[in-house]
Amino acid sequence: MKVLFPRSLTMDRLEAISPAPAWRGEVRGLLGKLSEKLMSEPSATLKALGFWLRPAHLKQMALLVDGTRMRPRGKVLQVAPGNVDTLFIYVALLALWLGNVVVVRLSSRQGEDEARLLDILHALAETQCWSEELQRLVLVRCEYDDPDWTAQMSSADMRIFWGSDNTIRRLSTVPKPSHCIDLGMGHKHSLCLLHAKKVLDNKDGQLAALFLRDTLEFAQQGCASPRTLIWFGSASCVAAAQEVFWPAVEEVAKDFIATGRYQLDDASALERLSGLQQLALDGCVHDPWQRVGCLVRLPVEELSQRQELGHPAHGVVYEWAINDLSELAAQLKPWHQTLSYFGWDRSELTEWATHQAVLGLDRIESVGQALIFHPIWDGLNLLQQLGRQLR
Amino acid sequence: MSPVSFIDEPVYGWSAGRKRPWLLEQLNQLTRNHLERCTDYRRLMDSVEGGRHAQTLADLYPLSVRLFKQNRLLSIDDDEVFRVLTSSGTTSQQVSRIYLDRETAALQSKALVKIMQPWLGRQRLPMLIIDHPGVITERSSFSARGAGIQGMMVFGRRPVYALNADLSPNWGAIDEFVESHRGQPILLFGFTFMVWQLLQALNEEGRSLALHDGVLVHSGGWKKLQDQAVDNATFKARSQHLFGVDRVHNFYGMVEQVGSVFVECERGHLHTPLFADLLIRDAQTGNLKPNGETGIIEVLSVLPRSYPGHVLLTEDRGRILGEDDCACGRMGKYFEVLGRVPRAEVRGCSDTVEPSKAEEY
Repeated sequence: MKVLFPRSLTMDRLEAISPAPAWRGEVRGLLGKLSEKLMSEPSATLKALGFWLRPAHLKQMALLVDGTRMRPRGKVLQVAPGNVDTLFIYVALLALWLGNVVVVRLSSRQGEDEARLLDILHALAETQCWSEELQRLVLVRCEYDDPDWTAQMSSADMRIFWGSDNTIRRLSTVPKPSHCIDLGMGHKHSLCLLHAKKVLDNKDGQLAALFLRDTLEFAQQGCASPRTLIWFGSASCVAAAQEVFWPAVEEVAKDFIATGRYQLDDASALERLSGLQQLALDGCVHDPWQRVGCLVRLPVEELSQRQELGHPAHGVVYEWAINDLSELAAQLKPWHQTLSYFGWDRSELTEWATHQAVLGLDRIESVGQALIFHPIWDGLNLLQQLGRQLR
Repeated sequence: MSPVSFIDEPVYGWSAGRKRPWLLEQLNQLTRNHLERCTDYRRLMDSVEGGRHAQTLADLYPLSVRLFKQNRLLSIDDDEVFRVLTSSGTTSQQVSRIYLDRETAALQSKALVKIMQPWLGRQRLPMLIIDHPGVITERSSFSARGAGIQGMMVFGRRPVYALNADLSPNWGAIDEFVESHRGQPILLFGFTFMVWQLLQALNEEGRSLALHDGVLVHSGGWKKLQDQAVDNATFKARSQHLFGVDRVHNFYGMVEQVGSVFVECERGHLHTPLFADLLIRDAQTGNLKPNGETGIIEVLSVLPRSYPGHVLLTEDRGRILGEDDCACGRMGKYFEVLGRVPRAEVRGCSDTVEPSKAEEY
């Protein structure tokens, strides 16, 4: 097990780190400082993290729980996903704020943002006033069968697993103390719901850019990125809206590519092609050649698990048209995570979803906001989960 | 299927004007046959506009080689399966499975003989195989490497294996081989990386072999060698120096199209034989790239009859250097391979799984 942060931490010393009281002002100070530093980073991802950590937002988030009698869980273990290399830090910092000792196993592939984030953390840890709080944050890289890691897994008070359903199943079999709870953040498929008539009426010209931000920011790898676009409206209205929407998307996509915000490398293009061919071979879709600039549109007739598991990412968008929201409700499954939307008030859709007797949909966010992390994620209030509530 | 009279035509003798229309007709015919006999292929091609009858070679719709890892693609009945070839790729732990009937297997062997004869002559040469005997006897490891070696064995006689089971040099066998064939033409064959390892061992021992009338034929990925910054020129020079051979021929081929291999000429260029051709495509758009530009290699072969592998998009990068005008005098396209497309980051939610310890062959 290789400890990446803090520097020169030994296993003995890791065992000796103890939790702190929840909501410490020092941690809030640390998060504020980190926010400042991140906001001046060139990476959009790190900037977004910095924005998320700003004091006003922390204050807002704190309102999500009755924090007066909360205490840390103890040692919170997290297995980070590799698809969005900075996602782990959101949960890790929330856990730290609640006083926990946080041990994160990072993905085997290091992205640029993760590397930069580590540099920033190292720099902060060298400053006297933050080093004590940062001691409770431990970032490691290791094989799953590393004995040091297995020991950590077996002595955790809470374990959070991001990954494929298989990975989560496998990780859950590692023994743990009986009081320890596991949270599994498994495979998800997200949707974007566009009101065709409102798209036609829309004059501000931002919609395409907002949609692409959700879709291409992490090359459609984040679970919250829309992979199925659902058009709402009559057939003629939908057709007219598509005529307006897609050329605008293509235009903005060019800009994404020109400015380096999105890049489809050859390996990804080949992966996408073989994925599309596989879908065609399975009879899921028609016409698998690559067409709309950096995006591929594939008309579908329904939401189906087979189709969704075979989604090749890298800019592939399934397109489905409905006349009534009940058609959508009928097909929602537990793995449908985010519904980003345009053309409704958020309250209309949350009201609608609350009254559907279905397991799917854990987030309803306005288009452009799909990737912004929220402490309420996958149906769980993480701030609540990361602490123990005293009666 | 039309009779395979082309097998007796000169392998490097047809110019583009003659080869293209013939090849197009052959490949269109293969497309028709596979459409008729392979349901999966038909379902895929149904979704491709104009995929059924190509007007030019570029119009032929290539299947991604990866499909052979995920699907059982065959155009024959199960009881006609004569041999299944497997390979492990570098992109996933799944292996390609290629289903051969007797006809395709025989055609592959015949084509390989025709292709190699101009380089090796008609006589079977004493053969030193740079591998260990288990590679073809152990059924479990009978993969691309085993198949490749077995395919090449028809050009040799009294084969001797140069390596022990642990891949260390079997000096005794090597010395005896050199001794007993002194002054005779011989054939050395091995996978590029295995050959390089033997060269390294010779170098470390301060030894060299005197195989002056020998020809070295090698194939396989360059990735491990590229990691050690070894290029073709270095490889060739080292082989000539330490083995003593005067001719070294690399060839490019794959388990998905066994038989139609591309052999490197005296000028260092890989050549398309009559039975096969090569196109370079842009990975992103699928458009053809002009000669000289680097892109993804698509391979065309008239041999695959039992499985729909006649038009394949590989995951290798390369570029066409010219057609019908190589200084070596052979007709056909000549090209170079520039390695595999760098592995895509495996992302998505499954990514916490460790990358597979990818194998070269």
